[in-house]
Amino acid sequence: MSITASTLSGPEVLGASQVPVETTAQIARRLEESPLLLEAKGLDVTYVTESGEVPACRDIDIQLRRGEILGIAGESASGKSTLLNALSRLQRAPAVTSAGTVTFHPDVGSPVDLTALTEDELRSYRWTSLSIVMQSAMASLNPVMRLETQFIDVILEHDRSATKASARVRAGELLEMVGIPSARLQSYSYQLSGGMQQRALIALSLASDPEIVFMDEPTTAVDVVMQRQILTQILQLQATLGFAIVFVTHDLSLLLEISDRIAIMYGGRIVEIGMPEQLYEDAQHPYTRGLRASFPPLSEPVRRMSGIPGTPPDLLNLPQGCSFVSRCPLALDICRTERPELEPTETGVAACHRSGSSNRDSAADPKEPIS
Amino acid sequence: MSTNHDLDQNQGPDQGSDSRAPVFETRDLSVHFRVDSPEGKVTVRALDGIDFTLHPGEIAALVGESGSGKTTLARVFSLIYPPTGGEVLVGGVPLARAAKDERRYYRDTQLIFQDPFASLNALKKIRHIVERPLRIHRIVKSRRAVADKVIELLERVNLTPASRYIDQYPTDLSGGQRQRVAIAKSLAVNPKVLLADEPTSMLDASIRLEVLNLLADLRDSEGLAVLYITHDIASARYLSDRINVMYGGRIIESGPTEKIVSDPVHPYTRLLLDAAPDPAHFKGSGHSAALDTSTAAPVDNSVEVLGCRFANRCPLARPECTSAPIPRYTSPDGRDVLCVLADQRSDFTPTTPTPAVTSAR
Repeated sequence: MSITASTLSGPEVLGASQVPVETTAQIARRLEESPLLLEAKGLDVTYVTESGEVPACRDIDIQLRRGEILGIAGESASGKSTLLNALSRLQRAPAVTSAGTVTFHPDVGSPVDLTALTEDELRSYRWTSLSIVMQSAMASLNPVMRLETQFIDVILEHDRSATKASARVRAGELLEMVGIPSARLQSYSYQLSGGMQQRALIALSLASDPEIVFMDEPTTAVDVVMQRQILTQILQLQATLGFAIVFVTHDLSLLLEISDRIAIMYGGRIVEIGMPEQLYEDAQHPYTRGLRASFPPLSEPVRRMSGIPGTPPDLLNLPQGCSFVSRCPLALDICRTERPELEPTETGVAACHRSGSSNRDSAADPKEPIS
Repeated sequence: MSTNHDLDQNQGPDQGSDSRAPVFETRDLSVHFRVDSPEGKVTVRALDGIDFTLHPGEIAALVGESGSGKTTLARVFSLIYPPTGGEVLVGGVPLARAAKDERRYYRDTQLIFQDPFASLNALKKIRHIVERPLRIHRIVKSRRAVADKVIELLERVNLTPASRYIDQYPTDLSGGQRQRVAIAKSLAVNPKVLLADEPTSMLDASIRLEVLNLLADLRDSEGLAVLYITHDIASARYLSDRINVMYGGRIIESGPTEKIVSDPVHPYTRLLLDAAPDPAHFKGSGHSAALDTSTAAPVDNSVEVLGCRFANRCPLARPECTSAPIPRYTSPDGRDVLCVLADQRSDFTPTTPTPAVTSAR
């Protein structure tokens, strides 16, 4: 699979038509038929600090299928970025993978546990299999190098057959692919607008046809119109090239729009996984419902909303039971003493003692505390 | 205790029901900067032809993308940028006169900043932070009265019991709590208006609403006016009574919140609404997350444009959009739009083109 500028439409107007609109059943079927690409099992990430070992991620079990867009939603200190760094194997001390595996399933050949690889061994997977788009394009692109130099550097590093001349052509194609004229290869990053920088970074991440692109809040630093343009571009490229995306953000409403499945993180654990329709209409975890109710609607009537009162737990001092218990409007006695395990739901899993019928009956309005 | 709907029912404060003068009123306000560029000195039109009104007890939102002029307008009201044209009235009095007594002006006009991590002194206790404006503006005199007032202020922003927070440092608090301390500090001097520039964008989603609800409550219970600046039109809809959409240094559409959201006229307003994430448009619902949009860059505000500054990105642009100044259209329900498309609507009538557009050099 090779990408060229001609694969995609011209730069002036983004066409939404290339992005398929599927029903939930169609998405589910596509995921079912798609082979496994990346799988984390029992993954723990710990920050070793002076004040103690911080359990930033615990018991993470998650699967990514080929061509899937997996959203990871969470707030500050939920562990979402830690998880992204662990999955992409970009984590650095003081973060340590203290348990579990991250298994990559290549197109050909046998599965490989990425956590067991050395930095050198990982290099052969970088960009050709795994790539990343960071939040701050300004900080990711080198301001004293022309874009061309940075693109050629990446292409030569990861494609042994490339020559400098072919890399230059390819660099131009990559920029054109995200709607930036190839002449801009001569620019420095600070000469591009914020949106263009972010798009250039996306183009760079695709330089060696990766199978997974990790995206860490790639649109948080830009305004809503630019955000929508970048999302449209990502979805077009994804539909054309078929790579899988792990998309991390605090913005659940955005994830609901673009993801095939969404994992919700709280206090270092996944508390719910589900397809957008279920998380929108019938989320099983009170935190998911509270988070969804934290975004004022645009197309539905406005009513008084309250978000989630209280503050996230201190990871160094997690409660014995469910970490959401102090903010939960539905907490039972058992929630204080016993941490709920993830149990299957209609389209995923949820970790809540009240998941299921008792939850649905009493939680018509999650914002009315029951005490 | 309510969002804008309650106000809609009683016609809103902008229907003449309130006899007090507007907190802020601008007529044909412009702010131009002379700046250096590779081509020599150029004029950047940060604001042009701004007609804006904020009434007591009203929350007016300024919505628009980066560089649209939202913050510049707030900075005119906070005396940071002097107007270069037009008129600004503060409580019915010209700005220059109102600002003569600077201490009093800043008592009436308080600012809430985006980042409560940066706007509060990390080395001082909450008590000190909330006390300072009380002392500087001599709101209460005795030590005892100051202490009581601090407690009262913290409780007013729902930091209860106040005794739990009063001896803490900002770093002990969450973002939402810090932002409420910043609001308590502003309320200490009994302001008439809060200028809130993206007050929730640094906060976690689950605690944003508590800050928005607090602002709504202060409006309802104390008649406070709020200028709410955001690029998130959904939160503007949630909180504000009136939305002013800015683009390229102009207010291109304004009106009662629900009218703007349900029936926008200007294609840029539509674009803002279409571009905003909407949880109801979840994948699988039949809505596409992809949107046909022009990737053309916004017009540089140092470039002179005779007509509409949005024309180069507008899917509905017509020749007259750039060949002549755009008339301002108004409707009886208090809406105001700067777009030729309004001439196709029976509820809008044109007024004269704003002079600043034609006179700009």
